[in-house]
This record gives sequence, structure tokens and C-alpha cells, in this order.
Amino acid sequence: MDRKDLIKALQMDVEIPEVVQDKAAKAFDTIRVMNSEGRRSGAVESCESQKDETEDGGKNMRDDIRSTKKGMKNGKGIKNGKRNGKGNEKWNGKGKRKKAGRAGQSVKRAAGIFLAAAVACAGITATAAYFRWSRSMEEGMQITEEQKVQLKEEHAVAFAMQECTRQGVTITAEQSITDNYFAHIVFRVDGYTLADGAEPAFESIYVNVEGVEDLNWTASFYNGLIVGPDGRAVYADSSPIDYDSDESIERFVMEDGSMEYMITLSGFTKGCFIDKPIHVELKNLGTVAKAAYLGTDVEDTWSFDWNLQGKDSMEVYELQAPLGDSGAVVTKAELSPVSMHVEYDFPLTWVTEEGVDENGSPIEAQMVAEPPMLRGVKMKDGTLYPYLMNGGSMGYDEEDTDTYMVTFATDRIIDVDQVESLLFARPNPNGGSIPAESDFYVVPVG
Amino acid sequence: MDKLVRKAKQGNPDAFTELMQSQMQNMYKTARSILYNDEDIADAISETILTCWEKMWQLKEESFFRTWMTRILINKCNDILRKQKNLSLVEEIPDIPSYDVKFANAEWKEALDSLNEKYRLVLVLYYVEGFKTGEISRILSMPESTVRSRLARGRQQLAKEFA
Repeated sequence: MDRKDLIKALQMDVEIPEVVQDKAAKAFDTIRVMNSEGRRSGAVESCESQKDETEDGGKNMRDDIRSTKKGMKNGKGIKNGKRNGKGNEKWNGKGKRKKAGRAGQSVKRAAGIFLAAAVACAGITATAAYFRWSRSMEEGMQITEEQKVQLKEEHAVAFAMQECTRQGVTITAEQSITDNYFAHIVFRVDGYTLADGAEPAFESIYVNVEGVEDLNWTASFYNGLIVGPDGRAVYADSSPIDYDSDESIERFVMEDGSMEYMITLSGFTKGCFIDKPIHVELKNLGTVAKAAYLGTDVEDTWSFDWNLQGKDSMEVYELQAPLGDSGAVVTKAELSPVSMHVEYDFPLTWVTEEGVDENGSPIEAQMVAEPPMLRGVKMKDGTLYPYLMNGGSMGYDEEDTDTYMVTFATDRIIDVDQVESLLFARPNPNGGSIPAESDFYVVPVG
Repeated sequence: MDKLVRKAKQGNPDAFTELMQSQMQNMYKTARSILYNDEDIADAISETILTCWEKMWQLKEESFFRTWMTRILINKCNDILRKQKNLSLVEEIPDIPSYDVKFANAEWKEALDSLNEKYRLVLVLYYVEGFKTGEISRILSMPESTVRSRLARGRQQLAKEFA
């Protein structure tokens, strides 16, 4: 065999061994189970029974997937794969809006509906008004000192300072930033010792706003990672990530031993959070590995009640901006420091996409065409923020299948009055590690 | 593929399954250049599938999907290698790697095993997966100059052996 033959031999298709295909299939099944559990909502009785099925089914699949003969740890089954409220909406073929962004993460992380009357946590105190910015807001949303002052003056940020202590663990609802579409809420956790390399999680959480449980939310512990200029994760303190290290790259525990937990709420009704009372319950603090909740270290419920102070004003731009030859025209944009909402004139169209099924046989599927997606902004000083999307929704309203809407929370605070243009993704970008302006349709707003 | 990636990021399990199925050949070949045992390769790939689903939201640019996924896979393979190293010192005597004896893959495995272990992964990522040196440097977290020199040495070795 000469060198060319060798390379050709390496490039040929190979038969994937059955053991590999089987374990991959089981992984896909696990994902489908988790996803379908996350989309269901309903009364607590059905929640409990589904929880049991998920736990057993998930556990068996997980056990099978993970090899035990090398002594690898088995993850327990997923105890809850649902969230209260609407959960993940899927495309129903009728133009209904669907969740975008971090939907998968929220389904796996926490779920469970608690419709029992909320029991006020003994020991809730409203502490003195000491306004301390949380690390996840300050670092995670890359907020500047000027932005802090501005948000406080505009009443867009609220310092709840609701504290609840159970079994030596104190959780404080620290602060929230709320606008017409989203609410970011940060909780500080003190008095819990996280094992090295472990990832903390609550077994389940419950949220209602003014009694309404029909909400969408994502939640996770802050891990010290933010999005870098090339879209990849970097540490907020700019230190390099050592992916080859034996230790976890996520940094959940701060220098003072505390951790922070952020919940992002999104609503379909404009203004549904501002100045509304919110009730949150965080249940059973433990750890999680991959998608499986490993177990509870502190079995208890921390409850909070306060008002979501926020700002209802957004910069609104009426536009008529065609996006190349995509057929989409941007007609409206609403910007706030923490979210973006854009509307396109883009009548619903079905397209045929070719793919392959699990056996490699060609298949065709009818999919709804999508306009060029909003990615971020260009500032007046020329700075590009092309990775702003942090979860939200996209699609058509049931009543109007000519107007496509995208609403997402931004992953950093934006000076709205410094925004010059919106960036929409072109197909086939140049492929550089850091996007350039030429990779986008640029729509001026400022 | 970008559209599939986008749909997968939106939490569509069917799109995600189709996306990962389309990468099975790539994943198997890359994992096989690090691990010898099909059970271990199966574990690494299934863990990669689950981690990609869980972390899909972190992927900001659809065009980086293959680089990102390959990096996760290589880390999983290295985790398995590390665990095997630890176990062999403590309790278990590790199984002797069992080679897949199916004839259909024999020629491919012979080609792969003829590569020097030191350069094998870089050569596979370059010639088989089609990654550029810049992408390989990101996947393996090594300077691009190191990637290029390993490629060059790998080619030299091949030239010597197959002269």
C-alpha cells in the first residue's frame, strides 16, 4: 500500500459496530424521553406519576448506556424532566411560536410542579437595603459601572434581598432585572459545601408570577464562563481554559464559598412581569452529572415572595429593511438592555429538506422556512456583538402567519442608545473564528 | 447542516438525532484513533451525544459545530484512557483490548494502525475528517505550529514506510 492508497483507505466508509450503534440509539432514546417529559404540563398528580416513569425509564437507559465494567460511575435516572408551565413548545405545523436557545438545558436541569399551597419559609427576612451586584450579573452579563448606575436610575434592576435559611443553607433572592419580555433573577447560596468537580443543582423549582404558572424559564448555577469574541466559552476573568485538565472547567464556588443561581423567565405577553408579585420555591439542593440528577444533599424547600420591579420602556424602531434575496423584510425592532424583539414580513412557507434516517436511507421532511436569524448588534463605536442570543422564542403568532417574530434575552447588558445596527446571519459565513461584518446583513437602527 | 444545528439548538430532538447520526462515521473514526476497544468507543460516543445535547445552547456559531463536537469526543476518549490508567493501578486488571474482527473494517483498521500513535490523531483529523490546521489546533488545544509539525512528521514517516 503506498501513501496515497493509505489515505484513501483511511477515508473509506466503515461499518459502525453494533455495540456503538446500540449505545448511540439508547442515548437518543434518553434524549427523546427527557424532551417529551419536559413538554408536558398539568396537574401535580400527573406530574408525580410521570416523574416516576421518567425516573425508572431514565435510570434503566442510563445504566445501559454507561459501561460499568471499567468502574465508571452510573448516573441515576432523571428524576424530573419537566417544568411547570408551557415547557418546550414544538412546531405544530400551524405557525405556533416555539422556544429557542437554551430549551434543552432547562428541561434537563429542573422540573416539578408544586401546586400545594406555598408554605412560607421560616426565617425569611428582608435584610437592610445593601445593594450588592451579583457575580453572575456583573461578570456573566458583562455589566459596566456606568450601566449599573443607569439600570438603577431607570428602575430596571431591583434588589430583592429576600433571605431564607434551611438546615444551615441560606439562600438569598439577591436581585432581578426585568423588562417587557424577560426577568433575570439571581439567588445567592451560602452554607453549602460543593464536592470537588461536582455540579450543583436543585432537584426542582416552582415559579409563579401573580399566580400565573404558565411560564417558560431556564435556570442554572453560574459557572464563571462567558462567551468570548469567537463564540466559544472563556472565563470571565480572562484566564485560559484547560480542557485537558482532570478537574472540571466550571467554577461554581466563589472565593467566599458561596454560589449563585440564575433563573431567566420569559413570557409571551408583553409586560407580564413588570411590578408583578413573584413566588419562587427551590427544592432539594444536590448535584447533577450530565443530564442526571445524582442526589440530594440538603432536602428542603426555600421559598421567596417579592415584587419584580422593572422597566417597561424599550427603544422601538419601525423599519423596512429587506435582507438580501432571502425574501424577508425586517419591519420592527424593540431593544432593551436585556432583550431584543424583532418582527419580519416573511409569510409562512414550507420547504422540503432531504436527510437520512437512522438506517442511512434518504428521507424528505417538510420544514417551515426561516428568515435570516438575528444574531446581535453593531455599536456606534464599531464594536460587534455577534453572539447575543441567550434563549427566547421564534415563530409566528397563531393569528398572523405573515409576520415572523423573534424575541430573545441577551447574554450581556447592551447600551441601547449606542446601538447602530442589528446583525442578521447571512448563509455561508466566511468561516473565520471571529465573525466579520461581511458575515451579516446589517440593518441600521440608530 | 447549519439548519440542522440551529434546530437542534432550539431543542428539537429529531433534528439533533439526524445531526449526530450524520456524524457517526466521523465520530467512530476519531474515537478509534484514540481507543482500541469498541465498548470504550461506544461509551465515548454515547457520552458525547448526551453532552452535545446538554450543551448545545453554548454553541454560538453553527459552523463551529463539528469542531466543537469533535473536541468533546476527544475529551471523552481521553477521560476513558485516564480512568483505565487509574484502574490498572488500583483494583482491576483491564481487559485486553478486543479488536473488531469484522472483515469489512479490516483494511481500514490496518491503515489506521499503521500510523504512528503520536501522529495518528492529527493525521486522522486532517486527512479523514477534513479539518484545517487552525481547527485542529482548537480541537486539541495546541498551537497551530505544533499541529503543522506533527502533520509534517507524520507524512515523513509515511513516506519512509511506504517508499
